[in-house]
Amino acid sequence: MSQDMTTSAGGALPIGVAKDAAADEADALDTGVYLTLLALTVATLAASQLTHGGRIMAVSLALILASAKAALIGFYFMGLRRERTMTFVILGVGALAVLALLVGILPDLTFARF
Amino acid sequence: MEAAITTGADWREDEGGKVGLWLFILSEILLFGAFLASYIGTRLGNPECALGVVVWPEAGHLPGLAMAALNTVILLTSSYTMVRAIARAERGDRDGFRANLLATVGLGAGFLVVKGVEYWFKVSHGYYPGSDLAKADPGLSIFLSYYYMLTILHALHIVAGLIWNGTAYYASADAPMPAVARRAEYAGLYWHFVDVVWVFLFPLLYLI
Repeated sequence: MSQDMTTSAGGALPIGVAKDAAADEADALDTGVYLTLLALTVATLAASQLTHGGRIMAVSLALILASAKAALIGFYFMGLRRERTMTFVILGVGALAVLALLVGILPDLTFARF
Repeated sequence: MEAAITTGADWREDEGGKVGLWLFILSEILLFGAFLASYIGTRLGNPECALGVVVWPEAGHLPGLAMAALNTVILLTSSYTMVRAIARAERGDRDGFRANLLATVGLGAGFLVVKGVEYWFKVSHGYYPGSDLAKADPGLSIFLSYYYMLTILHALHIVAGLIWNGTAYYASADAPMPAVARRAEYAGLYWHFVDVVWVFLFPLLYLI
């Protein structure tokens, strides 16, 4: 990659070198997120074995780990950490709607007799 | 004055397109969210396929779980190669972009192959709605209906993602790199979302 001859804002490095360093840093971050996702997948499998038969614990752990993975993908891979408020409003509407569906089912489960 | 108008047009095309894509993802959240809420509600309130108790019969459960775990790794890896493809496109590295996008398409196709093998395995063991096995166990029958509906719906989204990524790959041969990067970003948002859906489907369908 060719490097610009002008200096970066701090004046210490040519802009091309600064860009390469930033690109390397971004690549390292992406790799770190990917490895964390793989580790969380192993943790999900392990947790399902540890809590076999325990309904609440199994469901809670699975959903917490899945949410952590989804958050990592959303914030780092989908770039949510750089998005504007509008995007969070859009996603918030979706999250609230799904939550309303889940809560709406609860009375039916509460009063069900098997 | 002309520069200001050009800047405004750029904003509309780039940011407007992105907001449109997030709205599309919202509709997908509602689609999968409704099905998943129904699935969770059914299993929470049904003693025959209760949540927290693995529904799959012991015979054949482990190979199915192994294939699903393999598919999880495949999809996560494809998301990683997609991120790398977008980063390469933003840096103007056409060859790097195309190599990573091709890897993403290959991994997506691999996911479908493993899924196909898993379906064949399950059907050959009688794990499908309407089979004698399912008729003898109403809980299993309910679960299998959700399992096939959710995984086939997800697989159709993978197919759509492959077409989208394939189109982006084809168009990247000679298009200007800023346009390539923008298309890649849109395709990537959709691909990552499909990955997020699988992140929730995997534990809910195979582990609890």
